[in-house]
Amino acid sequence: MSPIDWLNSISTFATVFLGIFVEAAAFLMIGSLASGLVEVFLRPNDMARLVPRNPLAAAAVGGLLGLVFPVCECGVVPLARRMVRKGLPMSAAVAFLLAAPVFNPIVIASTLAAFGPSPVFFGRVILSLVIAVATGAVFAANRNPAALLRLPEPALMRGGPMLPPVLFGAEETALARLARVLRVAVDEFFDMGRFLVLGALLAALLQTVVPNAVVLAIGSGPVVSVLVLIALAVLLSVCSTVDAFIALAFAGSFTTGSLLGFLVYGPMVDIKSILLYTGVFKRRVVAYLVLLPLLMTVLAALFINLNTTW
Amino acid sequence: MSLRLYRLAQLAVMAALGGFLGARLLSGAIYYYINERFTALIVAGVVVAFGLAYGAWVGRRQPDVLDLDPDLPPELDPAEGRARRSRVWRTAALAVPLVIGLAVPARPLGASAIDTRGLNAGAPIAASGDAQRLQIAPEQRTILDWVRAVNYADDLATVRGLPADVIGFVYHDPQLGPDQFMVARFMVTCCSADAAAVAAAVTWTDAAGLEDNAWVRVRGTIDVVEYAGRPLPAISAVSIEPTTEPDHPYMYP
Repeated sequence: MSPIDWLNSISTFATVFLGIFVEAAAFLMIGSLASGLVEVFLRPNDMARLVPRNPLAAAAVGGLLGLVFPVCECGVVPLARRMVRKGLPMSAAVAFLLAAPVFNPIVIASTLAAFGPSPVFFGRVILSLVIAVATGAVFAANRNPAALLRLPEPALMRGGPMLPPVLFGAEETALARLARVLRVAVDEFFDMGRFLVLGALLAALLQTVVPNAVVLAIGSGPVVSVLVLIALAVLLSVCSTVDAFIALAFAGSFTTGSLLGFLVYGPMVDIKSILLYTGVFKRRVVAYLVLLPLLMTVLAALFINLNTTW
Repeated sequence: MSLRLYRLAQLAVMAALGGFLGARLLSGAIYYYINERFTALIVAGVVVAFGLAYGAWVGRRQPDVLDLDPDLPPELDPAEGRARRSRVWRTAALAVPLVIGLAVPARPLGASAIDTRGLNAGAPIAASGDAQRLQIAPEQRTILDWVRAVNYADDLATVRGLPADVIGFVYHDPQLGPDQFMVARFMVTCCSADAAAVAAAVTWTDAAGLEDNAWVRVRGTIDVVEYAGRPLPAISAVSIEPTTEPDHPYMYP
C-alpha cells in the first residue's frame, strides 16, 4: 500500500468509527439519563412490585417493557442494569434487554415502513419477543441475581438501596434530585462508554480491512445465507432503529429466513452490545446471552427457509 | 485516579464531547458520519453531554455510584484499588473518540471505501412508498434515482436515451475501460457504518485525467450496462465540470 492508500484507509476508519460512536453515544447518554431517573425516582423494590412474582410471567412482562421504554441496544443496557438494582427479576431484565431493541414503537414502525405488513415484519416482531422471553425464562431458575453481575454490588447483595434511604425522603429538593440524576447518569455513561468505544473500534477496523464481498460471496443457500447475514449483523453493529432499511438492500438476493436472522439477532447481539454486556454480566452469563438467542434465531430462520415459501 | 480527579476528568471529557458534537453540527461535518434524520438526536446528545458534565461537577464530592460501597470511606473499601484503575481506563476510553476526531481531518467516505465495500447495484425502495421517486423528471434525478430506475423499470428501453445531469465523486473501477469511470455517491441509512455506494458508469475520453474523489457534474444520455449481474446506469457524457462537494455528501434512501 502506498502512503496515500494508508491515509485514505485511516480516513475511512475514522469516519466509520465516528459514525458508529457519535450515534450510539447519543443513544447511550439518553439511556444513562433514563437510568438516572429510574435510580432517583423509583424506590428500591418498586420494579419488583410492578412485575408478577412468577419468574416466567415476569420474563413475559420484561419482554413487553420496551413498549414503555423505547430504547435501542445501547441505551437498554444501563437501563436494564438499573432496573435490576430496583428489584426487577433477572428473568424480566434479560427479556427486556433482548426484546426492547426491537419490541418498541419506534423500531416496529421503522420495520413496517421498510417491509410493509409482510412475513418479514411479523416474523421480526414475534420472533424477537419469543426468543427474548425464552432466554429470560432460562434465567428464571437463578435465585441469586447478584452472582450473575460482573461488578460487586454491595448494596444489591444486602438487598438495600444504593444510597442511604434518607435520600428518598422529602428533605431532598427537586434541584438536588436533578443533580443526583445527572451524577448517576455520568457514572453510568462512563462505565458503559468504554465498551461502546472498544466495540466501535473493532467494528470500524473490520469494515476497513475486510471487504464486504468476502462475507457476501460465501453463500446464499438456505443454511449459509442465514449464517452470513447473522455474521454481517454482528459485524456491522448498526442501530436497531434503522437496520430494517439496511436489510431491505439484501431483500432481493437473500432468503427470508436470513433477513429475519439479520433483523432478529442483530439488535440482540452485535460487537458493541457484546462488549456492553461484558460490562454488566459475568462472562458465563454473556455466553448465554450470545449463544441462546443465536441458537433459537438460527433454528427459526432455517425452519422458515426450509418449510415455507415466504 | 482519585475520585476527585475522576470527577474533573468526567467534567472535561463530557464538556469536550458536547463541544465536539456541537462544533461538527455547526460546521456540517456531522453529516460525514450520520444520516440527516438524526440531527435532533445529536442536538439532544449535545444538551445531555453538557448536562452530564454538570452532573460530574455537582457530584465532585460524591462517591462513584457504580464501584464503591457508599457506606465505607474509600481508604477502607476493598474495591477502592480496582476502582482507581477502572477510572483511568474509563476516562482514557472515552477520550479516544475525541483524539481520533481531532487528529484525523473530517472527510466523507470516498473512493477508497468503495474498494472494501463494493458498489451496490440494487438500490432498495421502501415498502411504505418512495416508488413515486421513479416518476421524477430525468434531469432532476440523482445517481440513486437512476440506479432505482434501471432496477425497477418494466422496460429498460424506456430508460435508455433519457437526459442525465448528476453530481458525484470520481471512482476508477478496475472493471471499467480506460475511457470510463464511475460517478458515485454513498447512501447512508443510519450512519457511515452502513454506507453503500451507488454509481453510474461514465464514458468520457479524458476519464484517466480525472482524479479519484474529485467531485464532478456529469451531463449526458443514459444507457444501461450489466454490472455484477445487475443492470447499472451508464452515462455517455457530453460535458464534465468540476464542482464543489455538496453540503450533504451522502444520499439518504
